[in-house]
Amino acid sequence: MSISDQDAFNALSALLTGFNIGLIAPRVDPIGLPPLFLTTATDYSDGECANLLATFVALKAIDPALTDDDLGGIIMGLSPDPTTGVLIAANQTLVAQAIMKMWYLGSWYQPFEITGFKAGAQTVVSDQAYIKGLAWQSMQSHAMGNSTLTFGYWDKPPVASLQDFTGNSDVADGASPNPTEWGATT
Amino acid sequence: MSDPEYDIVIVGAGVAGPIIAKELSKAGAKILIIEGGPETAPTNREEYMSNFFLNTVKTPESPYPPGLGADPAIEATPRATIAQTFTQNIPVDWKDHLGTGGYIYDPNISYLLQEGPQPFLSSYERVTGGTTWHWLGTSLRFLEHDFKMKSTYGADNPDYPLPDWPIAVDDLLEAYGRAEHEIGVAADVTVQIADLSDIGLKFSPGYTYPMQEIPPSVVDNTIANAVNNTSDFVLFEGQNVVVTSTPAGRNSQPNGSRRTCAGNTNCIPICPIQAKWDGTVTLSGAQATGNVTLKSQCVVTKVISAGYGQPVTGVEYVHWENKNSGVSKSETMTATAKIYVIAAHAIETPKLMLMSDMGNGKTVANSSDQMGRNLMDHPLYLSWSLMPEQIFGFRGPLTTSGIESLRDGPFRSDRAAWRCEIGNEGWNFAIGDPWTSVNDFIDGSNASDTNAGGAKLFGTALIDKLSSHFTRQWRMGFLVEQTPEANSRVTINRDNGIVDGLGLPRPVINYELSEYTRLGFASAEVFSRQVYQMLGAKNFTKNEPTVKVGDIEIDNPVWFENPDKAVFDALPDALKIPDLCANGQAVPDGFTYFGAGHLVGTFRMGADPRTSVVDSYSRSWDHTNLFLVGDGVFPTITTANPTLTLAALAMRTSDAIKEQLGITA
Repeated sequence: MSISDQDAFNALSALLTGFNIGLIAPRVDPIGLPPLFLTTATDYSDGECANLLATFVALKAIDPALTDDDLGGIIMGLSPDPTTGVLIAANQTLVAQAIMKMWYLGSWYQPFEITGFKAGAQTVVSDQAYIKGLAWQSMQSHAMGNSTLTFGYWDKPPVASLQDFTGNSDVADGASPNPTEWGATT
Repeated sequence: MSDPEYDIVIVGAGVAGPIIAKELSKAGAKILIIEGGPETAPTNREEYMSNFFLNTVKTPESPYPPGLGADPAIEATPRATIAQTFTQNIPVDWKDHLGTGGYIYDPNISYLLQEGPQPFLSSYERVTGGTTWHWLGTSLRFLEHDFKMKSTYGADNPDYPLPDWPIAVDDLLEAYGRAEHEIGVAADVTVQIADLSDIGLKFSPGYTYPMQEIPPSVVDNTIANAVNNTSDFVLFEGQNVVVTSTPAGRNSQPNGSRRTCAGNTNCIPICPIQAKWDGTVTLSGAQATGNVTLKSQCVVTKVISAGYGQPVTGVEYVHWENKNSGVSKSETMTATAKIYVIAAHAIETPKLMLMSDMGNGKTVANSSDQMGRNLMDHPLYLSWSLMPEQIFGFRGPLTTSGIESLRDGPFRSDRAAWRCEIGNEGWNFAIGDPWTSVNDFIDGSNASDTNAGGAKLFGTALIDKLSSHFTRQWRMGFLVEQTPEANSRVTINRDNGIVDGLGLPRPVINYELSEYTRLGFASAEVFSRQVYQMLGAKNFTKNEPTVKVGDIEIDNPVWFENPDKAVFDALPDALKIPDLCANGQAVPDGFTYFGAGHLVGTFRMGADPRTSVVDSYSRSWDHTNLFLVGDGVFPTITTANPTLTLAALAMRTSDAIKEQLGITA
């Protein structure tokens, strides 16, 4: 049975964002971001979104042993496609990155120039896309301007864990202090 | 056809206008308020929230009309916005044309015509309720010495840049209390007194704030645990350092029909639930008396008087509407009253007054030639860092505490003081997070300066990185006391051909930070290093001398050279470690500044009609029935956010108008 574009998009989105598919694409979904995001990525990528989904489905079909880390690395252009020995098309990686940003920030960042839209042009996909942005979940908070909490919540650390916010049991809750990971040039 | 005569005509429905309208209308005065911008119904908040959500640029003005891309030559009520000062609007040869008709920002984009030498970076709104739609809510009183700087710190120095006010703190204590109750300020007076009475914070005996304080955030408490009650900070020897909960015009309990703060982390640009006071709250109270008429979308174009020593006899105004793709305006109308109050803040008020020609080469209320001079802001030094542990910013109101205890001290003889505002919004203000860092860690870019290795992350590793990164971010904002300068000013130029959509001249701005002011930036950098040392935090602050417009690198107009390299040379080695220093530089080349949104000065009050525009009641020296109100009257800006004090002065003015009208309600 072939997988639908929407199912492939949802699975790819979960893999790349690290969020549980049940959280970002719930079975009962009154908001409907996954179809909106798939439409957006399709409409603004000159067919590259479809190519990306085809690549993803093919990779999964050809080698079921590939882990999520393997698949993500291939999609992100960090390691070669094992079936071809070379990196996937650069524009497919750019679309994948734009999809990730759409999930995290609610904005579409035009990944490459298409007719009428320059690379880097931004648009907020919808108010709910902004409000449900995963960046806010990664900080165990809420979108700026859309608190779901009540007076005084800010004087204590978040009650819910990072695992709760992401549906991902592998995340390192209470990220340990490690000044060597500041990442800046010194 | 003239309007019927009112007791009072008030121009501007921001902070001072509605307060005076409410005080006087309760006492029975018949009042006309003329507001240039549109009226804002409660349902406008939903429309403004939608604008906020859908704008890619979430600057303070992003929710409000006219839209950020609007042409200032076409709109009836254009205003200064932060977006107008973005780097892309700087002509690459900006420095070559200053002083010869050029501007720092493209006048096709920027409403303000900025002649420099440095840019003025603050903005405002022209709608009913004014800039309080996007104010922060911070409601600090001024300190005792703030009113007496010259006599306290410069009595023996003929060049001392800060004058005395014509009033003392004791003259304003009762009015402060009334203003705090009108706004609904949440704070604990015992905390404020314990932390700050030794630097001259004062209250009337037995005073209590109308609402309990807003709880400090996890960020605040972390900083407080490290720095509180230390007194050996370099440059502040012997002065106590303490983190203090910030009094705020934000509900800590239900207040009338308005809800309790839910910590939306969005006071600026817009509180989604109106838990934060704004001018429309007081305006509604004024209108409820039945004595107030509001005319919105009416721009006053002239204040009429026959000459100095003569009364004001009317104001001329036009009504405007958006039609098709332009603006239509009515014939000029005249409103008359016994008393006139101009409450259009420190840029639009002097613009209007300088437009008010009396036919003899003079303009209304300007015998002193001080109108428009002494434009001030709090030039803001932003310092941002990563903590070694999670402190969970991006939660709660945008700010809940500050370091206020260094706002006064003997150093004010020589250099500017500041207050240090602690932010609860991570690096949102500093670098535009979460957008900037999310892009970095997905694309492998390094705009945040935290991805030097170019990591392209996905999946669990991306979540872990972003979680660790965002929950350890914080920033300090130092609001530096700017000195009043005669040549930092608002003027108009009817000959440059640059007008707004009503054909009115646009404000021309000259602006420069003095040496005294710049020295406050050096002390802020020295202070921040010591805080980071105590916390084990790493400084990521950038002060960039150049910026890129497209591919062209140009001088950054908001950068200035370090005014005191010697003070850095003399620091102990422990405070020169690159991780503690902005730009990693032990001795900084220079600093950059932001605006604080505080438009102050330009029609200063004073004791001498020759050197000031208004008296201590904000009454024009030249026309006894004309009051120019708001923080434009401040002789000095001090270190505190101005709204509470301008509200207190509006109470004082209200009492003076009552007396002048013979009202004793």
